[in-house]
Amino acid sequence: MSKYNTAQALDSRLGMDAFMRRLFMAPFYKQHAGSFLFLFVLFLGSFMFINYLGKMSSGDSFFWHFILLIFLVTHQFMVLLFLVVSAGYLIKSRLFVKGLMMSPAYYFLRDSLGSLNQKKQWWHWFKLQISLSLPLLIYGVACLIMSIFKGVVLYGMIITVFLILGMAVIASLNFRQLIRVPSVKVPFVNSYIKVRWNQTMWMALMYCLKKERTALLLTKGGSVILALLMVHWQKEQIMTSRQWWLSFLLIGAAHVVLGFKTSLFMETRFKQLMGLQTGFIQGFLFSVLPCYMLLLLPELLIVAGGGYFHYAVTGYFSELILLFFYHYFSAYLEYELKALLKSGFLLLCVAFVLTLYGWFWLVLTGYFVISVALYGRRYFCLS
Amino acid sequence: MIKLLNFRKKYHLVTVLDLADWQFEKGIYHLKGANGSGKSTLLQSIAARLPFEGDILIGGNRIKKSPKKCRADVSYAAGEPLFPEFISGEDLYDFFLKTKGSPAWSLEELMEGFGTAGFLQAPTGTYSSGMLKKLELLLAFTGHPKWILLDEPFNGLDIAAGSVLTEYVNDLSSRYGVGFIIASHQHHEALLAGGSEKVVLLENGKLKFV
Repeated sequence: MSKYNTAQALDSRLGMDAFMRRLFMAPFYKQHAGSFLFLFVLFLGSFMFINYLGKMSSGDSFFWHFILLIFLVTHQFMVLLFLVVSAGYLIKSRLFVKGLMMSPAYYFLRDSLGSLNQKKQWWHWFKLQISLSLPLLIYGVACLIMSIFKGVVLYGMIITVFLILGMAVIASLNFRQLIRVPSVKVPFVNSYIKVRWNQTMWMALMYCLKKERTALLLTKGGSVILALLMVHWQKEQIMTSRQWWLSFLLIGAAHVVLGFKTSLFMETRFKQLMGLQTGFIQGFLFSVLPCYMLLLLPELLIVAGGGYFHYAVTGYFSELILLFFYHYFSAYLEYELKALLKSGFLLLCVAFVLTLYGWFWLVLTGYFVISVALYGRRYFCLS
Repeated sequence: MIKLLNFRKKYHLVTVLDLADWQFEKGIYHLKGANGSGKSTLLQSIAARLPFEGDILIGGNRIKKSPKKCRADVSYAAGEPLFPEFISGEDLYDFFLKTKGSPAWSLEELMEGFGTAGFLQAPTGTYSSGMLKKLELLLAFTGHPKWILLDEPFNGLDIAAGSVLTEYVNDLSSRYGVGFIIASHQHHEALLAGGSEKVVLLENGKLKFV
């Protein structure tokens, strides 16, 4: 007689949540989170030390986390920065889980967890997401406590609510991926076999609107909220020029995934156009310009509508340059999203530090020059 | 009953399966076909693992509308099973019982016949292909499936384990009314011993009884 039986298994020592954690949490922290956390600490740390703690003696550095927490909850810009970095972390954890679930070794989850009651399934995913977001949660809870002590409960609440909502969204995405039957993907480009200028000109925009609706809504939602906050803070006279510039960099960086996906789409289309007249191909490649200009219009209108036309124009062009940069940088990296996110993040850190020193225009020029160079390198046939 | 309605499966632009109207009544089906004929694709589509055109009804439920119900009704054992290497077979078995529930039939007989006690505690990364196959088959028999789809179940199994499996399949079919679709190149004698199976040939994307 076998030593196993169903009754024994039902009382087994490894609970379902523990099993899920073993499946996802251990590999996640082992493979990715180390480098991400390092960057997270480096990013916030360098920002803070350069701007505010540069005068502190090294002996006081053990106060680092304590001061960071106080700083996070007492300065609007840092709260916003924390939220953006947290969003990046959550997206990273989602991409990791998504990748694992798509690997054949994890197919068994569809047949096992996928047959559970939907509410229970969602809770398992949510609890797993809590485990994956522990570093953020620790900071979040500490921020909440500090915000209570510092009398700025609102900021602590914003951070906490954002983290809980973010985790719920990621849990829902994981849950949806598991339960749904994979759908047949109709190649979007096939519906545009007939190539005409008026079609190709708006192709990138149509692609974003039709096929990347989620990415578009998330990106534009976040950047529009930021633009509104910037106008609000300016009216309260708590925004400096540097903070405007840093915000433009953040908004530009928020478009990284959109730039990546559009670039990939345009690349596929570009390959189909090979053999046509060079002039036509050039027209096609530059057709992303009006599309991107339209995509960035909401922020321009908000800031200009607030009465800050100078900042609106500066922001518009800086965001456009960043979007172009991510467009061509994606092609240069052969559409490796992970590589793009990592290197894009590092470049952004550099851009942030330089901007803090007041070299914003140098940063923009750098991004522009790299974009042009990458374009020339990728589409050398036109040069 | 499994019903395929205007079922079509394409890989890129090549149509691999084109089954306008087909249904599997309860019973044991031996699905045959040459390499690349689409046997695994058909089973994976019924198990709601692959995208497809058209629809599949399992006991009246449309897969695309209620995948959870269909997954509970259909168990699938892959031809080349894979699991995370650091998880033990024992943990997987426990997890399946907790999520899918313990079946009406006894699994001990199958476990004993497969000799799983000797390796179930070890991480699956240390398993041979035969052990992985035994674990996959064991997991497919958990829960309360009305249909069990077995993709090349005899590949990698020793003769004794193959006989245990066929006996078990016949037993579940006759006593519990579980339907089976078994894609296999191998003409397993024990499977034919009962004489109750229906042989279906998959050729040029179409199904036909042999």
